[in-house]
Amino acid sequence: MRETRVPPAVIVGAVVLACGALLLGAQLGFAERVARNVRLAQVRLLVELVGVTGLSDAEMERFVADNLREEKDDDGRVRRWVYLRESTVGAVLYPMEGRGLWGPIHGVLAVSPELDTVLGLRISRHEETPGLGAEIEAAWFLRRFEGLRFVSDDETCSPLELHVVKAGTAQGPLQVDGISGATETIRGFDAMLGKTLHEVLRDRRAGP
Amino acid sequence: MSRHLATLVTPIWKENPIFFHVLGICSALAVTTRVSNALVMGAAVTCTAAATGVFVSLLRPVVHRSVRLVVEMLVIATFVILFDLMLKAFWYDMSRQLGPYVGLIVTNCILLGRAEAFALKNPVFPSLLDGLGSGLGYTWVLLVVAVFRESLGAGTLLGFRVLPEGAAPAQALFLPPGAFFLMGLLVWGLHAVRRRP
Repeated sequence: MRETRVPPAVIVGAVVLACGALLLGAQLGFAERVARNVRLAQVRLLVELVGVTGLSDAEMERFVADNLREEKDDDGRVRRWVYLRESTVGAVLYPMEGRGLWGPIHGVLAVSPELDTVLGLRISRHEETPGLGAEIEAAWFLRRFEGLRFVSDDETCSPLELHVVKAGTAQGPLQVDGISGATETIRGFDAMLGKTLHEVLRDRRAGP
Repeated sequence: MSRHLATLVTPIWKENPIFFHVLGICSALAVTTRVSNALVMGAAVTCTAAATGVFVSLLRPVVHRSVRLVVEMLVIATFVILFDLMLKAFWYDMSRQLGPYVGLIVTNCILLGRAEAFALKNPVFPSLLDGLGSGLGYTWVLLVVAVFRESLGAGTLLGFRVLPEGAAPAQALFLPPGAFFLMGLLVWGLHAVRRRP
């Protein structure tokens, strides 16, 4: 490395500008593609949750637009999607939002039209540790929730007791085994699921 | 062996960044649960190390010694973010699987280490080769660890089942401590092999 007459601050300034311009260009150039990827991932997830397979990307977008009725809350955020199959309700999908160990977790929960049974759930976005917390999006884990009935038979909509617990300690039909090595992630996941199920039960009490 | 070939091969084997310098261990432990993750992570480190080598070497005549670290970090961060963006744009699923680890390449000591130790003192072409070699040296170690961890820890290889149905995978290998033991054994084994006359 030689000594030059150009002041170091000027060199650093020039490198900062060049790097910044390159990254700004890339960000703008890829923005549309990235946004499309995010949207497609969400669409794919909704289609999967209602049990439809074998559609192309364009067909999936059309399917969601035609068959899923979006319901928004007062702030304009999607509160739930109602899946209409041959003019009857096939499933109701609720967006989930919670906190993991490293960042937010987003997902979707599908429940039966009677709002009493979990049909399935998917994680759309998370920042958890690959191989550990990140396994919350794995099929083997999410399958544990399918078919779980979260309303007692006497229809009282008693306080929720569906919980994700420490791996290997689940007891009874309303406890689900967590993932070993991912305690904090599972704690956040459990809170997120609980919050969403509360919302489902509120809708259930409010009636159709 | 020609000089250029030696520049490329030395960091792959004789001075492997993981085995010889024990650098880049954090990500090596974290992303080796799947072979596919290890491959993409290796590609990311190889590309960014090569690009960093080229640009740090190019800037060598004009950068004052007092600001060299700032410039090196700027160059490294730029290429890592660029790779991360491209992954998000062209391979979104993989980008989601690797999570924060692509971005964390910025803190991978292999890149800064090679920029300091090699690119600052050598012309552009050898610096490119050194970056490629270091990246490839990192990649093959990651692949070896990932093959062990995915096949024995999860029972699959690149997503295909390799353990017979019913055989319980060794879950401990899938957890970070498992990776630590495996890496330790590999470093031990390799040093033992190399010490032989």
